[in-house]
Amino acid sequence: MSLDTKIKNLELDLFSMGELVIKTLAEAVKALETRDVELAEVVKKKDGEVDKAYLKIDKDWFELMATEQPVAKDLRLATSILQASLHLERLGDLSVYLCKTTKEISNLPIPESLHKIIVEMGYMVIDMSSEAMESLKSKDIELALATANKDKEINNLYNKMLNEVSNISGNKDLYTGLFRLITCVRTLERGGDHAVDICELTAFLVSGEFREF
Amino acid sequence: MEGVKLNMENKTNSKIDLDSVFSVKNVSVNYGDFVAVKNVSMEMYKNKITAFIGPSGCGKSTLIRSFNRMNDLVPSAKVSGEILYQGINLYDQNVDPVQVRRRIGMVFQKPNPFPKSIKENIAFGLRVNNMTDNLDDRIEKALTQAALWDEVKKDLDKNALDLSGGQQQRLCIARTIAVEPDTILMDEPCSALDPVATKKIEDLMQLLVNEFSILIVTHNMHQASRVSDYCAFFTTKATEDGRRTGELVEYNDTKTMFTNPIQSLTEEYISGRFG
Repeated sequence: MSLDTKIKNLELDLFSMGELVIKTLAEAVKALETRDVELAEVVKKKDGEVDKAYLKIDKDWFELMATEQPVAKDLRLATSILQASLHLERLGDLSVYLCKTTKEISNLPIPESLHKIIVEMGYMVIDMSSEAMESLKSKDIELALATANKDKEINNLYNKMLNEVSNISGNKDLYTGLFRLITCVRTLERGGDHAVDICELTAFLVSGEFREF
Repeated sequence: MEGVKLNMENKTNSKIDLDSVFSVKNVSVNYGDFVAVKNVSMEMYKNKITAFIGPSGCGKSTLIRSFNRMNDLVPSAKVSGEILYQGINLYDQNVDPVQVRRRIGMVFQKPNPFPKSIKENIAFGLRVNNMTDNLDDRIEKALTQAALWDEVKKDLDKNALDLSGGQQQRLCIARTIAVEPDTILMDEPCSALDPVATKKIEDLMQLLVNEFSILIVTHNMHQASRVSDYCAFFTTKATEDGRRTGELVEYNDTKTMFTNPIQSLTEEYISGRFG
């Protein structure tokens, strides 16, 4: 197999992993939004496929480095693919976490306003991850930059959640639910960061220079 | 034609810190009416390893041979333009080519020790250059610098041709540095060696660069990326008469050359997609 084919295959594997991760994330957010514990259970089990996709990319990248020693654009592309796959794997873990949260809060009294925030953050992470992968696929720095800028909105929602929680008082069940929500929004906030990191990889791939967005 | 400038990634300070060894201005080398390499302009730096890479016939060996006037020995060869070595024009009428070759030593592709003892191989150049005081010390120092002393110290009278290929090449390096040059030119020094002997030469280069400036021509791009600080890529271009002339395409720090080269030709060559 030629170097071109090996790298093309890595790229194809990455983008199909991206589709899988984003589809799973969308289902996980849907389960959280509709408080559908059964759907959450089904979605959670899909993480095995995500891990499998990640391990394949990791193995193929390792073999590519050992046998082809790519340089220049090839090296930047192969490295970006490996790093992006790691961020996707973490976004896969986020789906699992959302599914767990769906189950944990199913019988707890959660204020509607907070539930709305967490769902809204979930949809924003899906949107950002999807655009980040698109920017990598089309090597579009402008899209990468615009997508990374959306992280501010996620951070705003995260802070809004923390502010609202501190004004709530109630019983043990309520506090247990709030605790679950806070750790969940923290994980969602990290999800936005993973999308930003993928956007940075787009810029690195195109320009050869690494910069923090 | 504008010289190819070294891209220093905006690190203007590091450019100031670097002392130039060779300053090459619009240099062309002809063999009769054939232009082997044309219009090369570049600066090379002290205590750095500069690698020349490019396909066969691109003029990299021809150019490096003009850096210590080895082309004087080829009657049809003519060097035009200007090669300044530490500010001195190498082709000035007052410059003695023998002195040039003492200051700028050369190691060749095929190890070429004299068919004499190990000791004599080192002593020969020292005698020619009247450097016979403390001869034994000089021999030990040169062999030590070439990382060969421990392997040969008990066999100094042994014929050099009985050494392995890698040892012979290190002996040639010892022979070169014995006469205390400032610069070492290496023309594919490892292409006749196995990977173990190659590794020893490459490790040796990293030690030698503390004392000498090194220019290496290599066909092995991974070797260029491993050992050099700066890298120049040459290619050949067809001329009107159907012959091919060598040209400098890109000259940059090695990290940039192998991660983000500026010229698409460089990119194609180093990633094996040339032509």
